[in-house]
Amino acid sequence: MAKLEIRHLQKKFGPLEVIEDFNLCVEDREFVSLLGPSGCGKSTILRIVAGLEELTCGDVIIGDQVVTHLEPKDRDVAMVFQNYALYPQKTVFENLAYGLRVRKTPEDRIKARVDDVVTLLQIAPLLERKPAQLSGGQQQRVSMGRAIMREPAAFLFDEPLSNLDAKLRNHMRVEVCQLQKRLGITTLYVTHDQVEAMTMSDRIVVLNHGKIEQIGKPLDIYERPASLFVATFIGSPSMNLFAAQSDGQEIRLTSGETLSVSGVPTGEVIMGVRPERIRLSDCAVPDSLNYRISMVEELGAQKVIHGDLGGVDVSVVHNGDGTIPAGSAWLTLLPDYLHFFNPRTGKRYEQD
Amino acid sequence: MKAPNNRSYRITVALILIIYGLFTLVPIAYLLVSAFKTQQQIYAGAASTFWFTPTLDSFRFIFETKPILAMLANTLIVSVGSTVFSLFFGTIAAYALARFDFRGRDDLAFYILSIRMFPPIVAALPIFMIYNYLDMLDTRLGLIIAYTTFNLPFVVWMMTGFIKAIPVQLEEAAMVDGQSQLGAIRDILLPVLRPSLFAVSIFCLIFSWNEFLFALILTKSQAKTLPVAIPEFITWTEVGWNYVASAGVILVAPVLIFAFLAQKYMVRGLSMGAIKD
Repeated sequence: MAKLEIRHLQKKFGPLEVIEDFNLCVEDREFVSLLGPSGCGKSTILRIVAGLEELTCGDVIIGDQVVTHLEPKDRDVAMVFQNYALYPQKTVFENLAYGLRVRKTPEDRIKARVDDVVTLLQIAPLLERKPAQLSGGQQQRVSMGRAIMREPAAFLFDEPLSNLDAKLRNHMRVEVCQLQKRLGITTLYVTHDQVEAMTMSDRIVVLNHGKIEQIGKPLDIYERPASLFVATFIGSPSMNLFAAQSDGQEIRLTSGETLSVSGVPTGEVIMGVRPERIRLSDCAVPDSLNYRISMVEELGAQKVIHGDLGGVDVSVVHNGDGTIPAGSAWLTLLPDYLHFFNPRTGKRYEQD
Repeated sequence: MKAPNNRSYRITVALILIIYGLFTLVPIAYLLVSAFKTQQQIYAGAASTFWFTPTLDSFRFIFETKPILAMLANTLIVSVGSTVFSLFFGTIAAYALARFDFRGRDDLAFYILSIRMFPPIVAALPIFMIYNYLDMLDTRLGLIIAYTTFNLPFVVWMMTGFIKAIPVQLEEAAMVDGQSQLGAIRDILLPVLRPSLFAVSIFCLIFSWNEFLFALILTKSQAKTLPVAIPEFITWTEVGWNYVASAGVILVAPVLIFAFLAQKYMVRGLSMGAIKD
């Protein structure tokens, strides 16, 4: 059990800088996700922590030890790969035992440990099988089992659930999460799936082009996105954005409608509002805006409504089961749920 | 593609396979029967091609006149030697080409393959001169090195493909599990590659086993291999087809038996990677 720290990490591939000055401290027992679109450098960071990739400069510290220049084998981390990377010629038992075998652990201790792990993961009947004889979910479990065999200082997960089908993925998400809490092992988890990051993590690091956009608790990131990138990347359907003009008291949308607000700097701003924070009604109420519905997506538990508000495409998530008015409706934007961003830097304006 | 399952289709396929089978097997059968004939029986006409009283005279003759066993031993040693060399160095080179990203990698890979393409006769004379200077003519080691030149590019090319088809994460998982990079190659990669190594080594073996040109030019007596000795039964005074045939049988038999026993593994080894994803 240990703290995992990354200090001033920089990585260049030739002249191309993929990660610039990355700093992160994962506390003991904490579950931190690296979330970002593909190519944002999240997997590279994980591989650097594992020691599978060289870094250009910076330090990686696990526990009290600087491991920056250590071989992967001397870092005491365990990794779960996207393709599971089970050793195809070995049985499940040998796959689990390999890490301890390499460390010359006595046979009876290996046996005892394998017993513990297979009981924990409920894979005891699979011990004599080869990986090719396992289903995707079983392979996933075995690869997790291999990771916990050694009781490492830290877990590294590289998109471990993305090869599973949707149903199994939901199930394994819960399972991985419970397992991590139970074992209390410091975890760094790479994913491009915001649902995984939101549901599993203690904290999320949102990455874009090798830079940290925001670090925070899942709800903070959702409720107070630090930048336009985070605002649109997190949440589905994604946040509605409007170009607007502010005079400090009131903001005016390009379509001419005005809303009264407080604490917004004067000048041009971008206003954002989440589709699930918009109230839809079929008749005009005070402060509501006219909305033309173009399409309704029926998801069962909720409806996603697409339409037009003063020339801007706006989507609304509607949870009620009533019928949706055809054609025209009214939207109420609640001041508490409005986000404002600087149109040039993309940074969030903090309201008081 | 789904094969049509009607009668005429199956008959056509069977016919093609029969013709192809005859095409490859008749010469071997002809070699085999000729080896057990006397000189007169060879020329006795088409009717008695497969109907005659077999004799071991030709075998007796060739063993009495030439050191057949010694030459067979040379052939074996040289073939196995060059296969081991090619496989060892070739797989190491292939690993580098498959796993490390360096400048000019693809050009280098193609350059290595191109060595295999140029006609051996071009290299034969320079190799003769060099060996003459180094006193390596008529040595087994000389032949092993010469054959390795031609086997190595083949091994590198084939093994690069096979290694690329195996996810690098296997080795990475082993390294995170506590193994060194070399240890990961030994414990994880090599066992997975075993069928491919086996198939490639058979190709090397057969190439060296059959090789004629270099053996003819680079050996005289000590290191002479069997393929070179066979045409010597054709002399100014007689054309000993029965002797050629019996020596031929001795040369072909081990390869045939071996290939027959190993065909399952060969197919598996060569189709690895081709089928996966």
